[in-house]
Amino acid sequence: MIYLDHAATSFHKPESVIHGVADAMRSMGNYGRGTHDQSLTAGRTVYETRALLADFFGCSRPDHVVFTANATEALNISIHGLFASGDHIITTDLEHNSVLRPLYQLEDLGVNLSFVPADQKGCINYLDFERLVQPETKAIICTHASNLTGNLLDIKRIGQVARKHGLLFLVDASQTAGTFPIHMQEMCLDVLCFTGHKGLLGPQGTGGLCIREGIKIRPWKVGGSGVLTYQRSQPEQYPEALEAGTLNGHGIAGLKAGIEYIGNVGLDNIRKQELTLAKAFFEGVKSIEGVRVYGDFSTWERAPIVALNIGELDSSAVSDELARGYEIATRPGAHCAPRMHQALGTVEQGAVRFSFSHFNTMEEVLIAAEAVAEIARRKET
Amino acid sequence: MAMDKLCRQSGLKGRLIPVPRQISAGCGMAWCAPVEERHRLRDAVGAVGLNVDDYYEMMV
Repeated sequence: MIYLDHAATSFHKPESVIHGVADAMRSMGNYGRGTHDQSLTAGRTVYETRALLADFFGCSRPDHVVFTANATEALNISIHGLFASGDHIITTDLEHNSVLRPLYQLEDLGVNLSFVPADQKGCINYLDFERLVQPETKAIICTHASNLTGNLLDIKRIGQVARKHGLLFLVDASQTAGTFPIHMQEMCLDVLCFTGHKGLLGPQGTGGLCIREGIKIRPWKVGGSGVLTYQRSQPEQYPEALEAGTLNGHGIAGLKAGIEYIGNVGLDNIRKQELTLAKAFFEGVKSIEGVRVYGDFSTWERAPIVALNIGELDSSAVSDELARGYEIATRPGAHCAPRMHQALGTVEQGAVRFSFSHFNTMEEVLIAAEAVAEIARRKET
Repeated sequence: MAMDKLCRQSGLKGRLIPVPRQISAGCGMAWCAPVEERHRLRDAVGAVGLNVDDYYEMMV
């Protein structure tokens, strides 16, 4: 199987990640529940991973790295924990439902939303962020890259707009963590939400948020914290404030190994390889008769994603044919990105998304491009 | 996935496919089987009380 669905989850994991999880299951107890060896092993692993992530993302404090099950949970925690009725939030058409749905829930509770629109290439106008600022605006919340087109947003530029207007800036880095450098302090990020199982090459069930010092997020869930047991309320300090219950310690051990792997190979090297593959695929499909590719390919400052359609063929049918006839894994349909599909004009048809990892090979890319060409030719005959 | 398990265990024909856009544009999976299997499938689903959204007949 040629796996080209890394935007959904990274399939090829470094061996060190797999061993990291297995070793953790053999050695770790529950962090924060005692000082015996197994609990301390867990505590040290979790703490070291916090420190690694703080360094990786330019977060000033390891204890402001909060672990969650995934980016969706991190986004829900931060979105639900920072705003009140009457607030105004600016977001974009590029967003995944993990940003949109919590925002729509807030809208039902009296928060007002504005969307920076995307054009048919999935591009935005950065001036729209400032145009949409109102007296009640409290935040800009946006993705770092579209999970459908791969188009990248200049979050440093947006962060400066947010900082200029005294707004919070929350970023969804699901498609870029582990591929693009992100530095919270340099980019004026207040909350960075990430997932562990895509570009960070960790196991599913890992993710988190990095919080700028001074930002107070109301807890989403409360319960056991390992400290201050006799206090009626959840502890207020991070990370315990937002980490009630047992952490996915085994998963975090795997995530630690993933980040260490990225450090060893080099983030820039990984990105260069992924974009080389994505570009080769794009070049291989862009001129095939009947193929429409979506996104802004005037730049290769973008996530390693290429989404396309073949004529009027149902994207579900094309993706199924790629899987069954060619053993190529892709994702069809709507990609949990409703507003992006509305902007592209692909609501009914969806799109077939190909997404690349540095573990893919050029041979796989060329086979995939030829498969698209064959399906397109068969459609014509 | 319950349908997948039921049909595999019962030896019923078919497989999971991405849901065709004629049914829904919003993603998901559907069980796809030859039309002549319709009664056997309905009987199997009914026997275990599986909750099915709907049945569609179409060219795929």
